[in-house]
Order: sequence, then structure tokens, then C-alpha cells
Amino acid sequence: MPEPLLFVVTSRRGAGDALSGVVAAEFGAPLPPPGRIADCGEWRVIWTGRESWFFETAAVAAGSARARLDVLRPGARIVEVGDGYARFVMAGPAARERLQRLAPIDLHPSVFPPDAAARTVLEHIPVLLHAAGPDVIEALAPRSMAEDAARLLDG
Amino acid sequence: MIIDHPLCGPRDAREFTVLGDAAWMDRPDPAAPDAAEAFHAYACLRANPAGVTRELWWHEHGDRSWLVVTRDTLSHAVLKVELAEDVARASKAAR
Amino acid sequence: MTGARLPEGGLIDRARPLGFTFDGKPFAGFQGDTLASALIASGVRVMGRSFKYHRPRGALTMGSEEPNALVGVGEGPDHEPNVRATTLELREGLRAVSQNRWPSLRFDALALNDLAAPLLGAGFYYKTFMWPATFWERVYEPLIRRAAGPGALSGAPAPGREDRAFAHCDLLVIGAGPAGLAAALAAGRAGLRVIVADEDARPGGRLLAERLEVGGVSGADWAAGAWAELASMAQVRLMSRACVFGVYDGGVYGVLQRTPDGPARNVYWRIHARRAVLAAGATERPVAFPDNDRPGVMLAGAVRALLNRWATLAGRRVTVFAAHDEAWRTAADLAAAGAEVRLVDVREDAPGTAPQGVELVRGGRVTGTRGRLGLTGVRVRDGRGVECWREADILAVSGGWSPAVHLTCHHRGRPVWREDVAAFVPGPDLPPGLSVAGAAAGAVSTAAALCEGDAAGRAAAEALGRAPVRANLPEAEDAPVSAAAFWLVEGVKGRAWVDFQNDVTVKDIRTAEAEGFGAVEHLKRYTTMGMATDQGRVGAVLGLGVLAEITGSGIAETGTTIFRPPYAPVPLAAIAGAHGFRPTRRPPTHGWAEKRGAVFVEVGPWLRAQYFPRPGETGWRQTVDREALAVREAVGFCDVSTLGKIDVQGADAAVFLDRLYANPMLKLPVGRCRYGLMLREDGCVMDDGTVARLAEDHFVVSTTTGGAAGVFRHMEFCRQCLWPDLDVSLVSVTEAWAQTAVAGPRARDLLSRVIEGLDLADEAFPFLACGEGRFEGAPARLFRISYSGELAYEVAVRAGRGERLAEALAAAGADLGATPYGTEAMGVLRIEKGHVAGPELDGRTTPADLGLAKMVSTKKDFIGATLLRREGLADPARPALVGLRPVVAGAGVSPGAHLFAQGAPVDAGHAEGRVTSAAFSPNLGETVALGLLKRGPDRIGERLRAVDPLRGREAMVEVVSPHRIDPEGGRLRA
Repeated sequence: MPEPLLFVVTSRRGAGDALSGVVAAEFGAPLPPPGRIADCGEWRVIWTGRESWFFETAAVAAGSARARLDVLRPGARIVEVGDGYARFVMAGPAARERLQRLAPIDLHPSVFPPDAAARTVLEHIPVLLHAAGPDVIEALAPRSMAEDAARLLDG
Repeated sequence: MIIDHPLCGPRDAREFTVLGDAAWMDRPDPAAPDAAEAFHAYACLRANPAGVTRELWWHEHGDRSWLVVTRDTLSHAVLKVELAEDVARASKAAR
Repeated sequence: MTGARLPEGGLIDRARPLGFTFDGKPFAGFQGDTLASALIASGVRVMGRSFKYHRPRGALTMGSEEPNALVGVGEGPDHEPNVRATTLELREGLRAVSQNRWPSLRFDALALNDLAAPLLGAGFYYKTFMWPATFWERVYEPLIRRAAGPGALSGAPAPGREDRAFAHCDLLVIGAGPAGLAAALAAGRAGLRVIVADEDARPGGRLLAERLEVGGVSGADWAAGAWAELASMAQVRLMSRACVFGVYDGGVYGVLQRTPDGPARNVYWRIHARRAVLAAGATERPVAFPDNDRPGVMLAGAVRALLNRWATLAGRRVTVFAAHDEAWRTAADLAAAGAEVRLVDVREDAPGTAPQGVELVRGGRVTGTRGRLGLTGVRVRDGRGVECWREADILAVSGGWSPAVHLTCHHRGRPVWREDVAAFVPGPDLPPGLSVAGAAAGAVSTAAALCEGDAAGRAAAEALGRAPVRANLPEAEDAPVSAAAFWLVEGVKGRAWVDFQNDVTVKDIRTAEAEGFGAVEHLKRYTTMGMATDQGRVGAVLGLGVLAEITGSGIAETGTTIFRPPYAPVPLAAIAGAHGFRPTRRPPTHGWAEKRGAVFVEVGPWLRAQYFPRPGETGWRQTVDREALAVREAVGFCDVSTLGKIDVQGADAAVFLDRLYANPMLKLPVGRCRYGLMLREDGCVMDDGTVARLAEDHFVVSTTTGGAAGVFRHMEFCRQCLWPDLDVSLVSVTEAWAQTAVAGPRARDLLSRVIEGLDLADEAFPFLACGEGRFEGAPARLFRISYSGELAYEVAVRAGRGERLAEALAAAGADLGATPYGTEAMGVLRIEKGHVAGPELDGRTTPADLGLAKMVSTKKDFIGATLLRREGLADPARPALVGLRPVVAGAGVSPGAHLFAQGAPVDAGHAEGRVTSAAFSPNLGETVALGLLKRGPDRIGERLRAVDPLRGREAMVEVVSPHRIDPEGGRLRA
């Protein structure tokens, strides 16, 4: 399975709503609200900031992915950042518990459901966390800290 | 310390770095006749109240937003948390 | 022999005997014993020597508040000092040693201190160790250090078997006695997420020490049943051996959990709780009377716990000295176990009849004790004033019970005195979200504890929006308890102890008060009362009561000091945890550099290749010289991925950057780079880097490695807080790109072999150009900038391809002499060229200081513009950038050395500047250095002394231009 591609999409100042309309029309769902993920079929859109989202896809090749996102211009800026992250997938009944020990935010399923995403720290490593299912949590950590993150998650 | 971020919910202070007094948002007019004095006060002079202050906090390991946190330095109670961008826009509109 | 194990009863497992040693001597106990209970059952009473006077001491309590029985446990780096024998769980092979004695516990030479007691009273060190002054560092300090503190650290690095963890819950229940268990059950049944934390290894709290029944079964059995019910609830987490030591802001609680069977020795939990219930019970307090500190003098509750929980009769001839009804239970339980018991109650009107087999003395006082290495006799004054000595092995004392209010004070709340229970109870100002239930709130009976705990649990449920479930509380004793506030026995000579661990007596309190230190906060510091590892949990309230009596004011007036976290000692290793505080960051080419045998250096959190030794090279200098020569003679390549890279896009991107940098950016042409000088608002240089314009509204900005995070933060601050109307977005892409500098006369040749789609000829791609090409089919950005002063480019490819680029450069450049170089050679090259870097950008230098005044725009506002024009920053006498070369061939120059005119005295008043950077230059054959010198540029040719007093070195230097290689820049523009 190819490594998913990751792009940062930022909207023009104050133009988040307009961009959401374009995304809904072109990708099938509007931009997600704070702390949430939107499922757009081949694409997953993750809220990362007030006018900033991750667009992620594993199903599309790099060249076509960039072309696909070009429809969002000029209301949006696009920066490819996938190479900068190391991805960890924690699966199994102990996954949530293991991550909870490391993270200061509450990862209980009642407050961190499968469409939730949060940027926080695991100990001293900044991460983006996302519950992909009741027993699956994905963590994106900076590439340069991959070794430290792996050691942390192995426990 | 827990900061109740308007968009991200309650977050531990370890996700943030603090800049200092919210006075940093009120950058003086460089063209004004007393600019040198005004900038000196802006960069170097600070009240240090025992009580309510407004501070600028950066959500470095979160959504990278700047926040204005109104906080009581005696009781440590966090009284209000606002997005700095909104505060900045509002004060510009007021001027 | 005094203590003896009973054949039946207790909460120990007689089927699991355990062997252990104490001070090398072998003993035996059972599973469920603590070290103290097993020692007492084996007839051992002396467990330590007191801090100041080295008096023999035994266990005073059976809990974590123990002030006397502190032992050292474990060998080598595992050694832990000051472990309370009263809570140390016995295990097979435990080796414990007593502390603070030499040569042995029985014969301690420093017991001489006891004879010197009149000289060692409160505050003695404020009145001594003054003369002669020469003795301060050489005699007094070493002596005092050796005497400081009872235990000793191993001196070896901590084994690192500690862990830290976060947890979240709706309700944190602190204590698993009857109140805590009731609160947890109520909350758990209502569906709250609950965490229950108790210091002990098993639930029950005081029930474990009593013969009281709850719901018709023994207290211990009821507690175990409640614990099991809680364990069956999915939303409830149970933590035993967990001490909640601090209440912090925002509902965060610090908890230290001992995990003797786990991979870590301790876990330091930070628990975020929306509500909490403090059900930590109460601690018994002693009474002050002469010689109340002998081994064998114990608190009445502790004697009871020994009997009921550990099936140990502490002694056969027992005197119970009581000011409180609860102590009568000790008398009754001991008499029922066959001991000879005399009960001396200070109250004339003590309620009730004497328990079966107990001799009762009403209105009596204990006025003294005998037996240095263990209690042998007690002197009692009866209600009529008649005194007599009687034999006794154990004196069980109870001055009353103090609710464990400590956590309620962590947000500056003060406890208040309640006359009816003769105790301080939590005051009205509790930390937000915390309530108190049971004995910790001043409740006296088991039934009251259950009721209050249940109410607290239901209240928490309601506050958090859950319907509380009404349940029937089990039946429990509800006897009223009366207590008298009794502090000290008057009218007797002899020292009476108040703080056992720091050896503070009633006499010390009198002294402090007489010398003007009678306010409670002063009293504490002047006498050191309450400042030992037990933090006054046993003696503080007694000390306040004594002070109140001495001064004649009520205890309510006297008040109390505030308690601060931590409630119990927390090892620093547990706070540090196993993972440290900072990640190690590796650039994308790290694996390739490792394979090439690079030696790495820490640059902040990064590991960067410092140099690449070749087989046969004898030292780093040889390697670095070779690398620096190779760059100027052929071509070298160096990873620069660690520098910050920020993507700036938007219609107002150029305006934004123009306001941030001191030099102009608005008209930077597309396809060009520019050096960027970023100032702080006070005019000093904050960071330097490059700005590259890839398109009209698209820039990539670079920063120094160390400045990356700060610059990004500063840029976002400006974007959000200063200029929220500008349309610009910032994305940090430091991690996304691998960036390599390729430098040297053959750089163009090498890159042409590796990069496609970009014409690298000088006309097409001149100095400071930037553009996009391809590397092995994938996007590559090129920036023609130079740090070394040679023809140079920086190539950026996606981080995942960084190693491939390094391999390709090495392979394609083999016949060109392409040489990988590290940070060391990079430093040599830039110093040769006269480029400023970190040592010159120390936060105190302005553009003019660095010879960059011409770069600063006078036509625009930018961050730092106004204050840069301050008079003081225009002073020509400010230290300014110069080059320095040693006058004597082959001499070195120390970075950090200070510059003095010849003949000037070497002192701070005559320093004229300093050396900021220095390195040996193989290209020039001598040491090159940069420095900051007053009026520097006007003093070219002058000779100065560069003095390094730290290393005792000095060199004569000549002031030269900083730019020693190619000052016209011809090589750059080749």
C-alpha cells in the first residue's frame, strides 16, 4: 500500500466558508469543523487550524493528487508536506489506553470518536491523533522524531 | 494549567508557549511624533499586576493559533480565552 | 523480647513466609507484613537514630506519616534512602539498613550530640559557625553537609525504571477507606468515569486496623467486596499503592504510584479530573511529655493496627495515654488479646466504663519514661497528683486525630479549628472541584464516613449531569466520640518531643517564641518543625497546640501554616520519567551519514554530521582540514536540512515579508533569493536566513537551525496579532524537504549530472537565482546561495529522497573529488569568508555592529525599525565585527577570549571586545577568527591581546578584515 499523500490546504483570509462550498462540490463533503475529520471517499480532510486543513489520500498517485487539488485555487493555497511526517497506526484493545498514557488530552471514545482528530503532544513529541475506529488510532509525528516516537509507542 | 481553547477545547499548558503581556498586540504607530517613546514603552515597560492580566499564549503543539488568555495571577483562575486574531481585528475596527 | 506474633488473625498470609535482613541480620515475616510489623513481631524495637541528637528510635506510627523508622533499601543504583519501614511491603530477600548511625544502631558515636543538646536548640546555627571565617568553607560546610539528612544517596545514575502517564476521569476519589469507597460506588453506579487512588496496597483505610464491622462483615471484607464491585465497572480505574500528592491548577492532580511488580518502579500520573473527593482520613497525633520519643512509645492507633492487621502484640505490659475516646479501643483490643493494660485518660470526666480487664486512671498524666534502647517503664501522675513508676513495654499515646487536610490547602486555603472534634478541618476555600468526606472532613464515625462519601459521590454525579442512584448504605458503628485538645504535660522537667524527625522539642518552641519567632510561619522555619520528610504530618498540629498554650492564645487564634505539594516525597526520577523532555531529531540523510561513518554532534535537539573521517585519519582536525580544502578546491556537499523552512503564500505575502525583514523584500523578483535580516522590535538581530520568491505570491523563507521555532512563532504572531487583515498563510516545511548544500568550483558540474530540467549555466541561473528542476523524476528546488563563499547551490528534494540525493551526489561526483562535509568544516568555511552566524548573532548585536548597516532599509517600517534608531545603538564605540589573526605563526585563538590593548590591565573595565568565532583555516594555513571590537573597523592593523582567563591562554592578535577569502566575491559569481 503506498504511503498516503498529505497536503496542507489554507484558505484565503476570511474565505473559509467559500472554500468549504468548493470542497463540498468537488470532493463530496464540506470542510470539517474544529477537531473533526470529513470523509470524502478517496480523500480525508482533517481540521488542523482555523483556516488550515490536511487533505490526505492513499488512493491517488502524486501527480494526479496535485492536479486534483488545483481546483481549489485560487481560494486556497496548497503545500505538499507528506514526506515530513512519520505515520504510526496503533491497533488493538490496548491501543487507546497506551496512547492515553502519553497524551494530555482525553482520548475516551465518548469525547474522541472515530471522526475526531487533535494535534497535541505525546510526552514531548508533537503529533496529530485520529481515531480510525474503536480500536485503531493513527498518529502522525514529525519525520525527524520518528525513532523517538517509535520508542515511545512501543512502550 | 488548563487553557480552554475556543476551538480545541480544554488543553494542557504544555501544548503552549507564552509570549507575555497582551500589550504586545498594540504595536504603536511608527509615524507618530512620539514613536520612539511609544515603542520603548511597548517593548520594555510592563505592569506586573497581582490580579487579573491578559497574556498572549501560542498553541505551538496544537492548532498554531495565538490566544489572549485573561488570567488571575493570584488565584491562577483562567477567566477568559479568546482567539488573538479576533481580538486584533476588533481593536483595529475600534480605532 | 517484647513484640510477639499471635498464632491467628490479622490480614497476613501465614502460608507465605518471607525472609529478609535488617542491618545484615536475618529475620522472617509473612506476606502482608510491612518491614516494621515484621521487625516488631520479631522483637526488634530500635529502627533508627534521630536526626540531631541521635537518640534511639522505633516506629511511632504504622503509616506513611512515620517520622522515625526510616531505612535504606536496595543495593547500588537501586538504593533508596528514607523509606518508611511502616509502609515498606515485605518481600522475599528484602535487605534494609538503618540510617543516621555510626558505627551501628546499638552503639552510635554521634549520640554524643544528645549530651550537647543544650547547645543545639532551635536556631542554634544562626548563633554559631561564625568564627573564624576561614573555617566556613573548609571545616563547617563539609561537617554540616555530612550531617545533613538521615539517608544517603547511592551516587549512581538512577536506573531509569520510572514511568509517567496521563489519565482523565469525571471523579477522582482520594482514599479507599469507607468514605472513599462509598463515594466511588455512588459515582460508579451513576455511570461516571471514576479513578480511585489509595496509598495502601489493599483497600479499606482505617478499617484494616480495626475490629469494626460494616454491613455485618469485617471491615476488611466489606472493603474487598466494594473494591471488587468497583473493579467490575468498566468506567472505573482502581489504583492501589497510589499517593495523590498534589492538587494543581485546572483540576490536575499529581499521583505517585508504586508498582513493585511492574516494569517501572514508580509511575507518576497526571490525572485530569472534573471533580474530586478527598477521603484521605485522619492522622493521629501524640502528646508532648518528657522522653516521649523512646522506642516502644507509639501512637495508640498504630498499636491497634499492629494487633488487628498484623496479628502482632507489640508488648505485654501496656500503658495507654489518651485524650480521645478512640484510644479506649486500643485498651480494649489489647486486653482482649491478653495484654496487661493500664489506661490513663487526661480527662477527669472521660465517658464510659473501663473495658474488661483494663485498669483506668481518670484525670491522669504520663510524666516520664525509662529505657534508652526500648521502653521499660512509665511514670504516671494520677488524678490526685500522686506519681509512681510502673513497668511497661509499650506506651500507646493518643492526643487526638487530625484530619488529613493537606490537599485542601494546595490552592492557599487555610484549615479552620473545630472545637467539638479538637482538630483542624478543611476551611471554606477548597480547590475548585474538590470536596471532602469522612474523617478528612472531621467526621468521627464509620457510619458518618459512609454517609458523607456516598453524598459526595452522588453530588459529583449530579454536578456532571448524571442521575445519581440511591443505594442503601451498609450498617456501621456510629458512636459519638469526644476529645479534649490536650497538647503537653505541664510542670515536669525534661525534653518533650514535638517534631520527632527534626528533633524539635517543647523547649525549642519556648525558645523561638521568646526570641520573637512566635508567629506560626516563623516558628516553623526557626525551629524547623514540620520541615522534614514527614512534613509535620504527625507533629505540626501538636506544635501549634503547644505554641497556643505557651502564649495563652487559643489554637484558633494561633492558626496554622499552609501545606504545599508534595504531600509525600516524590523521586525526581519519577517526574523525569523514562523518555526525557526533548526528542532527538535526525535529518533525512542521517542513515546515509551513519553508513558513511560520520561523527555526529548535538545541535539543539538535532544530531548533525560533524565530520566524515576516512580510514587512516588520526584525528578530527585532519578530517576537517581535508573537508574544508576539498570544498574550495573541488566540490563538497553538506546536509542543511535542519535549517528552518517556511512556505509563505498569499496575495499579501510580499507585503508581509517586507514588514518582517530589515532589508527590502517587496520587489524581490520571481526566481530570485535574497539574504534576509530579521530584527527584534528592539533593533537587535533575531535571526538571519534567505527569502526565495518562487512565484508572485509564493515565497520560501529559511532560518537558522536554532532559530527555526522562534521565527515561525514570531511570524505567526505578526500574522495573527499585528496584521490580521493581510492575506497570507504560513506553513512550516522544515520536515518535508531534505536540503543539501553543494559548494565548490565544480559544484555546477556535479549538479548538472544529477539535476534535470534546469539550465545551470551562469547566465541562466546566476548568483542568487532560484528555480525548480527534477531529481530522478521528482521535484527538486535549487537556490544559488553560498554560505562558504564558493560557487554554491542548495538543493531541496522531498525528505523521503534525501538519502538518494546524497548517494547520487557521491556517485556522480566520484571523479570530481566530491566530498561530504559536516558542520565543523562548514564552520571553518564561513569563518574564513567572514559570514556571521550564531556566535555573532547573540541577541545583543545590531546590523551595524555586524557590518550590515547598508542592508537596512530607510524607506519602510519593519519590525525593529523605530528602536533601531535609538542613540545608543548608533554609538560608534559599540563593539563591531572584525577579523583577527594571530601574530605568532601557528598560534591559536580561543573563542570567547576578551580583547585588551597592550599594556592595559586585564579586568572587566578595560575589555574592548571579544573573540566570537575561531578555527584553524587549512585554506590560509593559520587560525582565523571573528570578533566584536569597539570601533573595530577603524582599527585594522592594530595589535591586541586576546586573553582567555578561563583556560589560562592568551595570544597576540592583529585586527584584519573579517573577509579573508575572496573578499570581492568573484568565486561566488563564477
